[in-house]
Amino acid sequence: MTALLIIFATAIFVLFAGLTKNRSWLQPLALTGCGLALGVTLFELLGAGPGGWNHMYADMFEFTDYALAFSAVALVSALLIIGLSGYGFRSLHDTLGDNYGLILFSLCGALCMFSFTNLTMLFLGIEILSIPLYVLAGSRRNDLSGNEAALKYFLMGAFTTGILLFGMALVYGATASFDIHSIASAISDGRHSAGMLHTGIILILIGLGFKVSAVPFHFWAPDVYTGSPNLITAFMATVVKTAGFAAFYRLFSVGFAPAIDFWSIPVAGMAALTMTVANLTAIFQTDFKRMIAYSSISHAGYLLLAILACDVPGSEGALLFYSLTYSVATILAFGAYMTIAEPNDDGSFEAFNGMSKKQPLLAAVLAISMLSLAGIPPTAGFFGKYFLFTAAFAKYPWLIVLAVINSAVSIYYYFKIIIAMYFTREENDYAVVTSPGIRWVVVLGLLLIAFLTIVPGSVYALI
Amino acid sequence: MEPSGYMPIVLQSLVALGFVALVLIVVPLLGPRRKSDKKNENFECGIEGQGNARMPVSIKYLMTAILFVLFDVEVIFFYPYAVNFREMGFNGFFAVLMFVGVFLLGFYYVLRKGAFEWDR
Amino acid sequence: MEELRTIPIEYYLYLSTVLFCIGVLGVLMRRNAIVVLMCVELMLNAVNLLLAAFSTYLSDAQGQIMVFFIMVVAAAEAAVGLGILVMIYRNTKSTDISLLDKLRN
Repeated sequence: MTALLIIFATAIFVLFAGLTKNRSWLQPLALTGCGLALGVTLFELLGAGPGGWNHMYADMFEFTDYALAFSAVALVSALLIIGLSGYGFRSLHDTLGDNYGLILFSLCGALCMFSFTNLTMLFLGIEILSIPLYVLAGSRRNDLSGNEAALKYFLMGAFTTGILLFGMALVYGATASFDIHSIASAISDGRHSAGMLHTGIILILIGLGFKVSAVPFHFWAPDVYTGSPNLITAFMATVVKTAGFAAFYRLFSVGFAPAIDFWSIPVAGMAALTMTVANLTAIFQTDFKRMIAYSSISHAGYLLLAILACDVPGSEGALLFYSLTYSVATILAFGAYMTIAEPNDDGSFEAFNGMSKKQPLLAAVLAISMLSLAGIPPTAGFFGKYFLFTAAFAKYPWLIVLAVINSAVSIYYYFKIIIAMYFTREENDYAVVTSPGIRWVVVLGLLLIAFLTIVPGSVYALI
Repeated sequence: MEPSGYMPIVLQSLVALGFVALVLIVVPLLGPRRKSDKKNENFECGIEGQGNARMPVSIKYLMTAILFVLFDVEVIFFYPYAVNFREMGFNGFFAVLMFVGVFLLGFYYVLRKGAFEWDR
Repeated sequence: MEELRTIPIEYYLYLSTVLFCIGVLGVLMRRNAIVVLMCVELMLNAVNLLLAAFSTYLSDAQGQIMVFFIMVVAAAEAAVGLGILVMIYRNTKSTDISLLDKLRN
């Protein structure tokens, strides 16, 4: 809660600071807020505990270690993204303060989604997360593809909200409560009407499936990811995905746990479809952002395994570790991508040709993040997949076999970029433009990946 | 309340409806009736009408309308507070005060951003 | 409130389901973004109706509080959506969503 309050206050502060003429200290201000919130969250997570916040606000929140750890992941991602923003936001002079403010407001929504105990709070969290993002997706006002992305994201988001809410209403009608613990006890006591509950769970599943872009509800994601400004795409692919899955996991592992036999079948189908379809489509992409979009859909497929294994001890830790490694690797990849794609206005794989000679450090960073996303053994991404797959193996061996095959397929398209950077003869005369911020982000991100690679157990065992 | 307690309301409604009906019936009977092309125009005197009234309205109105809707709908949260304000005591009062504070911050932001300046 | 309870809860369920389905069909079939937005609002209002009915049926105020939140969020969403629509209209002079297919390849 402390982190939520700090981020909210910072957001308002940044919003008003954006009205003044001097905009150079907006980014440091936003970074300070995020850093402070991260420090407080880590302090609460590692030692102090959440303090007296737990039973305030009519038990709407519950600041367990789970909530705090995921808040830390979201805050780290936001910190890195805002660190990159000296770069991605260059074209937005007059609305800079609004953009930082909206990112921070969106982060508030994510923090609500980690700690909710009431479906009302989940709904509000999702909306607080999404509504600023609709605006941010269209923040380049004269760019038609940005406009299209904003409209698509908005219409899909609003539609999804409707479906999710209808599901929530049916669950409320079936169990007479919005509180996830009461819902769980109502289901296990049999004090519910099964038809309404099951329809409600399916509708909520569809709604959350849209939000985390699981197949067959993924079709909006590639368009929206491609059309949005790079930095916002990075935010959507990391913070939004983490928040979506953390909320998904929390709702289904606490609230709907007694009905696991009912919902595990559709979720397993969704996971299998998501992995396969996304990986097969990603192979044929020629645009970096579109490839990252399909890659993020495929990672949603792997993350669904954690939800399937939610009654296995260790699945929470696996979800946490995977989210963190995936987020850091994706943000680093975007950081490197922006330095080459933004100045030259070319997002295809060919833009990376010969990058290893021009910018050895950035090329190495991009290569490491690609290896991590692909899950090649010594990297952090490998441990993420390992924890996740072992958690789900006992219950769904066939799904794990499929996941391993899919990981092997994914190596192909991640390596396309490494090949372009290191092994392509033909070169381009593209300039690489870096900013001071990106160096710090890259160093921090690399340190984090190194930490996760060397002592993976420390994060895995946090919750 | 006893059913008879509603009598004044019923009477008032009857009087109001009766007056409307009376006026609607009496006015056409009393007034003279002339019909011509000039009479059927939107404005029978003054400048002659031009074009269609269904034309795009300035975007400035949209801004005001959207802001109105937002601030208007927020008032919905006062309703549960108004119903329970005695039981909620000072805690509830401070909560609502905080809500209004955030709300006013938003208003001030909109003001500073220039959303209400017509000549821009 | 007694009169309300004489109407079985199923009737509300059916009515709001029908309204919700009309909204869903509208979103999927209509091509004008403003009409799509209206259909989304119809979906949300179907939910509101259902929640209010359940709330009365279960004699529990939570459902009605949820309705308040849904109404406020719907207004915020509509404001943002209209803003996006105006931005697009300025650039394309149209609110037809099938024109926006630049990103598909």
